[in-house]
Amino acid sequence: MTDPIVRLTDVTKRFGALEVLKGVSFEAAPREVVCILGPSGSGKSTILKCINRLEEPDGGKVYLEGVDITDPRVDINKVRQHVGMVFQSFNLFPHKTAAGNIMLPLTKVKQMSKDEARVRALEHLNHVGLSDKADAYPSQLSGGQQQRVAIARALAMEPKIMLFDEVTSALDPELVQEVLDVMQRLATEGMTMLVVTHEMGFAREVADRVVFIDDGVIVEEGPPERVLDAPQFERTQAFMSKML
Amino acid sequence: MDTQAQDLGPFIPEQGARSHAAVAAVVASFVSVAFAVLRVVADRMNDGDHGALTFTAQLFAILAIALGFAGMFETATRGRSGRSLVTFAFTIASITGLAAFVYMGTHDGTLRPQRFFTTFFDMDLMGLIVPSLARGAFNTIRLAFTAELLSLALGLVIASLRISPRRIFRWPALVYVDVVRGTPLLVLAFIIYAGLPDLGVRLPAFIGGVVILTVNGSAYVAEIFRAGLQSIPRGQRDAARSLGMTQGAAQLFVVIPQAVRAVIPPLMSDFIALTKDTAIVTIVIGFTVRSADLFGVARTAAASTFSATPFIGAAIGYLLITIPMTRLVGYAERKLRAGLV
Repeated sequence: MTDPIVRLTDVTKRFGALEVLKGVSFEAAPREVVCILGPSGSGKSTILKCINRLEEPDGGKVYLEGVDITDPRVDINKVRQHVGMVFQSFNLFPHKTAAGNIMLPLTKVKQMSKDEARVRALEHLNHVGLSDKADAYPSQLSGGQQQRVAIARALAMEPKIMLFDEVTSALDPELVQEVLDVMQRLATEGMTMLVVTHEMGFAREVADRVVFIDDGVIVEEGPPERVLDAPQFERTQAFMSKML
Repeated sequence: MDTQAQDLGPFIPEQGARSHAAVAAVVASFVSVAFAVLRVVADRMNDGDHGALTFTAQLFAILAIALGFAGMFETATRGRSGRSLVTFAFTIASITGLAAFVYMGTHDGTLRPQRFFTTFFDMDLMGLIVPSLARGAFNTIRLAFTAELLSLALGLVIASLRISPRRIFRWPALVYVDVVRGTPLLVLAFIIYAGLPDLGVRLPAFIGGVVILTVNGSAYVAEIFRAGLQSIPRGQRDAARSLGMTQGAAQLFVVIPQAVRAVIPPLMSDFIALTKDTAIVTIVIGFTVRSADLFGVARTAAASTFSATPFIGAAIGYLLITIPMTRLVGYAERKLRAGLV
């Protein structure tokens, strides 16, 4: 097996008295798609945020391509350029157009010229099927379109891994599929993806591996058909029976 | 009252009750006017005290006002048509009652409505002072703009102290904002302008005005900035940071541009308030003739002419400045709300 692109060892995180992660260890190989399932409040999103240190882990280590990124000497801004993240609430910059959203980090972080950045922004908008919306502001786009722009914005940084944090949870049901389609294509193109989701169909079809987490610990992990359809542990069984 | 009437609907002949109340209100207003007239006549005939007549007139006037307003409220909240005559009666009764009451309470036996125009709209006088008013308007704008610019700068500093994670910065800023905003501007102006000379600080009138308005304005501006910065959702910063932007870049390119948009309408409203507040400063400082603002010009002119016309002129001057700004605020709000800027 190839070296893992991301590896967590015994990561813990607490918010005040609440212990959200109680020692989480897992890894993902390049080109692997891992879906993280679990009840709300189980710590799924916190795992993702610990990987790009939007939340600082209290304990444990996070390795990206073998480098410990919890080391204080690491330039976290450099690291984040290689870790794309898409959020539940899109978090597009409302004062920028679709293209402007993609161009901002390219010009300010990658130091590209405006023209270069625009060319790349249009490429990536095209990739998510929104080349005609380049000059639209987020407020003029549907939720599904906004989320696709957000995915394009993350991809334009050419990350090595993509983190998806419940990216379809805030969408109207009829807009979910267009976003999942983009993600599915991304998976077939070989992107490494960690996907926190409630979309069982997506997990079944796209994931190489499913991780079930509850109460801050990984309860069960394995190929989707096993975890989703024949879970071994009671907590997983109870969760799956509610979801299906 | 409205809901009661509806609840008891079947038991009260609504239309009839309302008509009776309207008649009562009109009768009360007539009676109050009648007694008012009686008193005026009595006043003319002798110098005696006519307290009983005044009291009766005022009593009925209050009755007319109460009935009239209650009835107007009742019919207005119903929002049904076909009661216009009743509503009209209520309205007339309450207005007449109010007039009678005010007249009883305030007149000195010689009401002079014919002097309305010569007092407030003396066109000859107005024409004479227009050039001074124009100069005053210029001085008002100059004072307001200078103070606003300094308020913006100082306000930004205070706001950033106010949201600092360190208590040593946050605390003084909080005290400043609370003290200044909780003190009437007039009092603040006297404290500053009466106090400084005792300390040996003698400010020219204009500078003194700017200082007072800036101390006051910066506290309000700071709160607007703070609210604006804190109104930007955390997700915006998360998104910027997740893309590799530094703390500073995220603040500069993502948070502040949005915060600026959020604060533009309230800042403009605040600037309008500051423009009007310049008049208060004039009371305290008293500008020289050449540097007098709108209100200063009006006061000087009114003092020598015993006319209220200069104040009307000043009011018009303020309105010419503030109304376009008010419209501009509305325009900016609509544009910004559409998210198309």
